[in-house]
Amino acid sequence: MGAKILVVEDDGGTAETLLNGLRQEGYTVEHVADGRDGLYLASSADFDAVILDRMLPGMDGLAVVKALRAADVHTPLLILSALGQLDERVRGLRAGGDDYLAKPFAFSELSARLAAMLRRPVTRQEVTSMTCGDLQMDLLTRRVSRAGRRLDLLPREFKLLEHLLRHKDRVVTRTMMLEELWDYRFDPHTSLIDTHISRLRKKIDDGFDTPLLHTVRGSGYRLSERP
Amino acid sequence: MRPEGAPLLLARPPGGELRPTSPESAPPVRLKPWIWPVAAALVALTAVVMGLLIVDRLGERAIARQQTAMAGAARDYFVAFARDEGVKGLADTLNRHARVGAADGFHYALEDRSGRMLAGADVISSLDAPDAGWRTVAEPDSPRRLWRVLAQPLGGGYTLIVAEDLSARDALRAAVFRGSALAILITAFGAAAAGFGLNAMLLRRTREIAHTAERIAGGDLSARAPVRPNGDVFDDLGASVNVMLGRIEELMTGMRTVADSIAHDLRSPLTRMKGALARAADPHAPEPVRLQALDDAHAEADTVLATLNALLDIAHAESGLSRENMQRIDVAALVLGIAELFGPAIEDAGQTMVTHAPTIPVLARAHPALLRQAVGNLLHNAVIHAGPGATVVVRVEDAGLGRARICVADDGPGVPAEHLGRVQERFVRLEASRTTAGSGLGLALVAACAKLHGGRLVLGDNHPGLVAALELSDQRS
Repeated sequence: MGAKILVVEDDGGTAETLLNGLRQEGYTVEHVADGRDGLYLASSADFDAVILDRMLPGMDGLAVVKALRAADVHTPLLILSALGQLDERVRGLRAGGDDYLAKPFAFSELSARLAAMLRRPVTRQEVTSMTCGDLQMDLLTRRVSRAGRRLDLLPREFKLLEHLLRHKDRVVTRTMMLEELWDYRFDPHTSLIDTHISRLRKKIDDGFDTPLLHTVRGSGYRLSERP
Repeated sequence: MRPEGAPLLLARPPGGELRPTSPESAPPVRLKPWIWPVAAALVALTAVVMGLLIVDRLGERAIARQQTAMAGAARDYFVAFARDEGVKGLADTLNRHARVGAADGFHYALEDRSGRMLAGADVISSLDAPDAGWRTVAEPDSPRRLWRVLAQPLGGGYTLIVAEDLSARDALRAAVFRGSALAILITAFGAAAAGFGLNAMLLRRTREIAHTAERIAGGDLSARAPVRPNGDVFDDLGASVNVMLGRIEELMTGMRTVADSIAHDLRSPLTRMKGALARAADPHAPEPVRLQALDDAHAEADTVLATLNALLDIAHAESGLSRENMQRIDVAALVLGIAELFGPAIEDAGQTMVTHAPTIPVLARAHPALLRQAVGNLLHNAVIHAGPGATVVVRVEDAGLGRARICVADDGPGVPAEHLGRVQERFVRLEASRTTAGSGLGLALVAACAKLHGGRLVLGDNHPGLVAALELSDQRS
């Protein structure tokens, strides 16, 4: 990987968890604790992504985002916030953030989102078909087949599979799916995504030797040929 | 999530009662009760003195005018009498008058050219009468006794003398003054007594209400202002204050209940989390057990988080801050999206879902994220409470003029009619659902969401089952 990440976070404990986790995953990480320093670094040096706390000393997180976007810096930006309210996410994204994650969060969640964010420009190109092993999806005819056998998917299953294919070989968390496919905030009491996944899994994996849809313990799901 | 030092729960001192922060810091403001009566008494006294002076002056003038007119009339009468009956006749009449006496203080006499008295009252002979016109003279024996004397020549050298005893006039004036003074004093004392009484009554009534307020401030939320039946304005005021106090007590009790519930609802998962963490930290436990314990701890943390999020969402919706994010959206599409999301969960619960929505967009001003959460909560309730075999009907109706209605109905066991209002409150969970997972916050959020949208959440009997109708009618669209 080796992507360069800037972490702007004033809370020592959170910053340490982030830095350790990101370095373990092979990222090159720089850290500042102040909003002003963050704005300066993000606009002067070349980072692949910025992880920015919403509430910072010196300069408010949202103000940093707005200043960066106004200065034509389009580095992918993930906002972290202890303000988990429904409106805050909208506000963060409206200010120019690419993704929003409420504290407290699991590192695996952040890692999955960061990976998705770093890949985003590539997947935004027009694609008409996607594959994973012997699974094929035609986006124009909306047909799905595996090993040449036609699979009959409901619209909601097609939607889910398309999302997983776009993030092929990567972990997609339940929260990401809820937010991106249904605009719904994650609620731990409802295993809504699991109910969708089990149906999809039945249709694409049942009766085939190699499973493609894997459960990643403590994080989410991954569509891949590799186990 | 919340700034340092701002406690989530209401801090309650050991006494169990809310005490005023510091009684010394704000002494009760007391108006000095004697100031007003004293001021009123001074004003009344001044009025009485002024009144008496005016009465005296006016009385004196009126009496003088009256007496002068009487003297003039008497003179004119006797002048005419002398012309008709002659001097002799006049002398007889005057003598007769003098014998009868002069109760009105007027005395008459007839004098000849040399000033000798021919007839009339003897007292006049001692007075120094003028030749003609009015003069005030003193009695030679007692100089303090004054007379007003009028001399009227009659022709033929005779002069008619009219003498008025001024002491009679003074007696009349004094009598008028005494009467007026008595009337004024009685009125003044009556007014003062009534004033004092009224003042005392006002003080007593306002103090009763002030006393109620002090008891409330002292922590006794059950204190109420006294209200008498068929009462006056103070009873009206007291009744209004009591309505307000009732509402405050209700809110305080509600907050206390919520605080207690939060404490309880957070303590349980936190306790379980501690247990799980202890299991995970046990070095002798086998690896799978420790991993499972960590998973359990994770799940409990999520429970705490979900409760906090739900509470924050409700508070946020109730504060109305979310209005800035309201926009015109297709409510039907939004509801169908959430119905799709819950589809598999409903099937897994052995239930069937039916959706009814217009094929054209149902446009209304709404807060999309909050509305999705609210519809999700209604569907989640159906999954949990409607039971296997139930049919869940989701319906979106366009009520016109930017208003919309979202109905989620099931044919499960429903909610007893007497609890339909209560289940919209925070942390209210009915006995039947004690054993299932849930925070008791779901419907409270739906109700808060409906309120933010200018509508309300109506729960009813679906015969059988529960029907929940979320009405949106934000008129600012």
